[in-house]
Amino acid sequence: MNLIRTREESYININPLQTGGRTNAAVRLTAANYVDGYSVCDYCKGVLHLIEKPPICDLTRQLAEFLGMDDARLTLGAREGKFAVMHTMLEPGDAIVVDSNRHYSTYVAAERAGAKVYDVPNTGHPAYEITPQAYRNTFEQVLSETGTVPKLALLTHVDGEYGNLADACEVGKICREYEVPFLLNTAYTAGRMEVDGKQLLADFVVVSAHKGFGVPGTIGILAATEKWAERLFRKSTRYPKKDVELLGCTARSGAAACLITALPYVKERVKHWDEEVAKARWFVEQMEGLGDIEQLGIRPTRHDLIRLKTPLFHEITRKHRKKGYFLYRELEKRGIIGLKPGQTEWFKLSTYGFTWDQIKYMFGAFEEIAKNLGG
Amino acid sequence: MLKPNTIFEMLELMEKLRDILRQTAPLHEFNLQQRDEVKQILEQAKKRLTELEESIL
Repeated sequence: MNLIRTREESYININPLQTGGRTNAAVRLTAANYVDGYSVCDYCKGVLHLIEKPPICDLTRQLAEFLGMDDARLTLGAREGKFAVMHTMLEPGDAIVVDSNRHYSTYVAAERAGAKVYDVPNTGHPAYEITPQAYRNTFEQVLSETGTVPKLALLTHVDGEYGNLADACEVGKICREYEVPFLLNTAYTAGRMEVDGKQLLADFVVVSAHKGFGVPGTIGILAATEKWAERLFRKSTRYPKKDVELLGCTARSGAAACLITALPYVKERVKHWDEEVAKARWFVEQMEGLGDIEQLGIRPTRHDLIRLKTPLFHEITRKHRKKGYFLYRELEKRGIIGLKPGQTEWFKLSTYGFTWDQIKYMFGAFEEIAKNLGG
Repeated sequence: MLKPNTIFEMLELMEKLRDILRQTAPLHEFNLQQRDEVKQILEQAKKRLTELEESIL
C-alpha cells in the first residue's frame, strides 16, 4: 500500500488542529534521517534528555529558556505533560480548578489523577471569555466547600473552540494570592506567539509541539520553575537517571530530532505573530461583510483560530441537494479543505501560516460560494 | 558506490519543492522568483542524479 498524503501541497488546509504543526523542508529532511525506530538513541546517555548526539540535552535547555522557565523535558504531547503535573501535585480527591474552555484531555487527565474538578465558567455567548475574576470566584467556591484552597489551577492559554486568548498573567496573580500552583496549557500559543512562563506567573507550562512548533508528532514539552522542577522531575529510586513521571524516556522518536531542527525557525516565526493576527482579523472582517456571519469569541480576535457562526451558509442547506455537505464540497472544489463535512451552522478554521495571497484566495472562495448559492 | 549523502541531498531538494507547492496551493501559480527557485532546484537535482548514475557505472 502506498500511503501518499498531499493535503498540504494540493490544498489550503484550514483545520485549526493542523496549521501550526505543518513542517518545513528542513524538518522533513530530519524526519527522513531519523525515521528508524530508536534512531535518536544511537548514543544513549541513560535518559532521553541527556542525549548529546543529536543534541537533545541542549534542546531541553533551550526550550526551558524559550518558554521562560527553569527546566524542561520532552513529553509525548500537552496532555501527557498535564497528567504528569497533576499526578505530582494531586492526591486522589484533591481539588483542581480548570477553565471550562479546556480541551477534553485536561478533564480526562484530572480524572486519571483522581482529582475533583471545579470548572471556571466562561462568560457565555458571544465572547465565551474566561476571566480572572471567575478564577477567584471558583477558588472561593472550593474554599467554602472544602475548607482549603485547590491544590492546582489550570488555564488553557488559548482554547480550541473560540481561539480566546486568556489573561494568563492576571490568573497567575490570583493563583499567587491564594498560593495555588498554576499550570498553563499553551498548546495553541507556544510556538506561534512568544510565551514567557515566568512573566505569566506560571509554575508549569505544557506545550504541544506537533500543534505549535511545526514538527511531526507526537511530541510536547513540559517546563517548570525551579521551585517545582525537582519534585516534578524526581528520579526513580532504583534507576537514578529515569524521571518517574515521564516513565524514563518519552518522545524517543525522530520527532525529538525534528524539534532540534525546528527550534530556530520557531524562534523566528513567533516574532511575526502580529502579522498572523492581522491576517485573522482581516479574514473575519471580510467574512462578516458578507452578512449573516458572526465571529464568536473575544473581539477583535487575538488568534488565528476563528469560530464563525454562519446562518448565511446554513440557509443554503435548505435548498441545496447536498444539504449540509454542500459547503465542504464547494470548498474542496476550490482547493480548500479542513472544514468538518456537514458543518454549516458554524465552523472553525485557522489562518495560520498562509500567505496573504492564500488568505485572499480563501475569502474569495467563501464569497463566491455565498454569491452563487445564497439568497 | 551510491553515496547516501547524495541521496539525502536529493531528498532535501524534493522537500524544498514541496515547500513551494505548499506556499502556492492550491493554484500553484508561481511568481518569477518562485519559478527561478524551482528551476534552480531542478538543476541541482539533475546534477545529483547524474552523480548517482555515474557512481554505479
